[in-house]
Amino acid sequence: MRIERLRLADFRNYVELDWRPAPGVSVLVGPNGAGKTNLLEAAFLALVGHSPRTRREEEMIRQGAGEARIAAEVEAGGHRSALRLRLAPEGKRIELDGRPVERLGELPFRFPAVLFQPGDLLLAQGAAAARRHFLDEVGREWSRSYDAALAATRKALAERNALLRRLGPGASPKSAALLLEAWNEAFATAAAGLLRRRLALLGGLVGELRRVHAALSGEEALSVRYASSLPAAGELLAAGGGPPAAAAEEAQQLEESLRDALRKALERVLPAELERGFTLVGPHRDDLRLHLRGRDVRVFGSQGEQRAVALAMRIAQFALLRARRGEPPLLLLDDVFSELDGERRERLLGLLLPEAEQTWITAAEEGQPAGSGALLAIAGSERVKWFRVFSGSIGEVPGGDRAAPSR
Amino acid sequence: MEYAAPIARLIAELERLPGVGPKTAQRLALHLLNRPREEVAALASALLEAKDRIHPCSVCANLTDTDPCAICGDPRRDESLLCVVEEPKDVIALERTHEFHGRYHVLMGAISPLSGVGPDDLRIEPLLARLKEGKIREVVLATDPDVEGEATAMYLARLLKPLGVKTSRLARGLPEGGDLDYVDEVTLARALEGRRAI
Ligand SMILES: Nc1ncnc2c1ncn2[C@@H]1O[C@H](COP(=O)(O)OP(=O)(O)OP(=O)(O)O)[C@@H](O)[C@H]1O
Ligand SMILES: [Mg+2]
Ligand SMILES: [Zn+2]
Repeated sequence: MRIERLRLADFRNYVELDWRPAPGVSVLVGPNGAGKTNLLEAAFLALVGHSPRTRREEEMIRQGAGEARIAAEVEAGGHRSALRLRLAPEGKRIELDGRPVERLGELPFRFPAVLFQPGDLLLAQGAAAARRHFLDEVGREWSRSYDAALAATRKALAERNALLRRLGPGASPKSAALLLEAWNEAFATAAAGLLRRRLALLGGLVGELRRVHAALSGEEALSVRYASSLPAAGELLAAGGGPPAAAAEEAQQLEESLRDALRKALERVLPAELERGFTLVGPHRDDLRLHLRGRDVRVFGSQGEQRAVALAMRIAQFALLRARRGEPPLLLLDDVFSELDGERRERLLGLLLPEAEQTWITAAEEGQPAGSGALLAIAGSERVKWFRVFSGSIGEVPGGDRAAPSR
Repeated sequence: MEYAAPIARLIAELERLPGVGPKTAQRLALHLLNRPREEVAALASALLEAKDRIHPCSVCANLTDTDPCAICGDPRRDESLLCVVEEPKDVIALERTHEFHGRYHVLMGAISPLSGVGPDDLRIEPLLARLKEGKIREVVLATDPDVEGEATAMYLARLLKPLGVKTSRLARGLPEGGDLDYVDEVTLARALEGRRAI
């Protein structure tokens, strides 16, 4: 996955930009507020269909402008494509080779990108939702049908919750028995499809995660467990479960047993659900539990340990997608070096760069950013280009950034 | 400057159409004004004629200009086989496959607690009335392959069970989340062959 040319108009602090990133590594250096993160955000948005940092899309339109536009010339899987995005207060529209993209959820599979950002610490520190979101983000890039399974599950969940609220705590389940059964079945069917895909995804992801975490931290063994709200399925899903490439028939069987387990669990918790007005079992309640030396990283991990786990999750995402898709995703590293010591920085680069193709790295420093020595050694100096970002414009810095910063 | 009142009104009317925004409405209006009078008159009379002559079939609720509709009135159709769909457009989609020789029943929607559509808002009573006549042996549940369509099929399968009529569901293989009428004819024909009992 590679962006050959990126054009922006009225996006964040960019009035107009026409930029050709390096085929290998582009290092983007500039002071705070220059527009480095904005640039990565624009690329991510055009490829994957949503911003990695905001849900209020209007705020990405440059202040004072009516609409923002992004155009990306992209090469993925040997195919060239043109992506165009228009963002107006009424909403956004993405066109792929001149045709509107109907299902934005399909974009991540076509144009996978892996973004490291400071907020990733939440993967290790935050509530379960952050890790579920991570799994679903990787899932969409990993399999074509993941997004449909996720969308169906969310829809069925919203419908079933609406039904529970309509019926209310006083409802006798008898009078609404047929309706409840119908929505249990619809939810169980969709959710089993999602669970089965998560399971297959974890089959590959857990191994990668343990491997890269060991390589990054130097020693400790990370234990990874998918904690399901579905006790019966917990066993099926134990330890990240099944073979990654289960035969279609086995997959069908697994999905069937997950559906059975969900049906039973839904019947069991129904009284509590009617009381509370939402669905209490399903993939929307699950978590990815991470333990170091027997203790939950989220609760007991030190800052450094949590940072290593979060980085390992992103590296594992990158490694898994690269192996699965046969070519590396676009690698976006936003501000990851500032908080790492020299040794960790080298390990991170050593794990990523030899496997990566196009990579964008930002650093908020004047002059030579810390770690550039290691960067050049690992990536090979001929693959690295230096750019200076300054209040919404980008200039190449010929021959590294030893030269004085140019405007 | 504002558009003269008749143009503004035309734009406003066009804007009420689904999928038509202000810009498209303006473009359509200006386009129409550039066409010869006969052409515009033909469009206007087509709109009115369709509106005046088309109504839901009193049996199946498919859109028709006769009553009952051509399908309900066709004696060569298999009256023991009934296909239940969400919308009139689904009838057209299934007819295009030339694979189905029974009759239809249009529900006019699908169950959706989120949008406040319950079983009573759909044409389920008329369906039960048709089944009571005793001629129908199999009901094919061809609601959309999305979660609302799935839930509606589940609901109907359970509702019809005590009546002793066989129910089947269009086989999967349909794109998830898709509208039935977007599915190509080959996929739909295959789905009809592979319908499964539920
Ligand atoms: N809609 C907008 N219109 C105009 N400017 C905006 C808009 N949104 C953000 N900005 C500006 O963009 C700048 C932030 O850019 P960005 O986050 O890319 O900085 P950065 O180069 O990554 O800095 P740092 O090194 O601090 O991370 C801020 O100065 C902000 O005011
Ligand atoms: Mg930044
Ligand atoms: Zn009819």
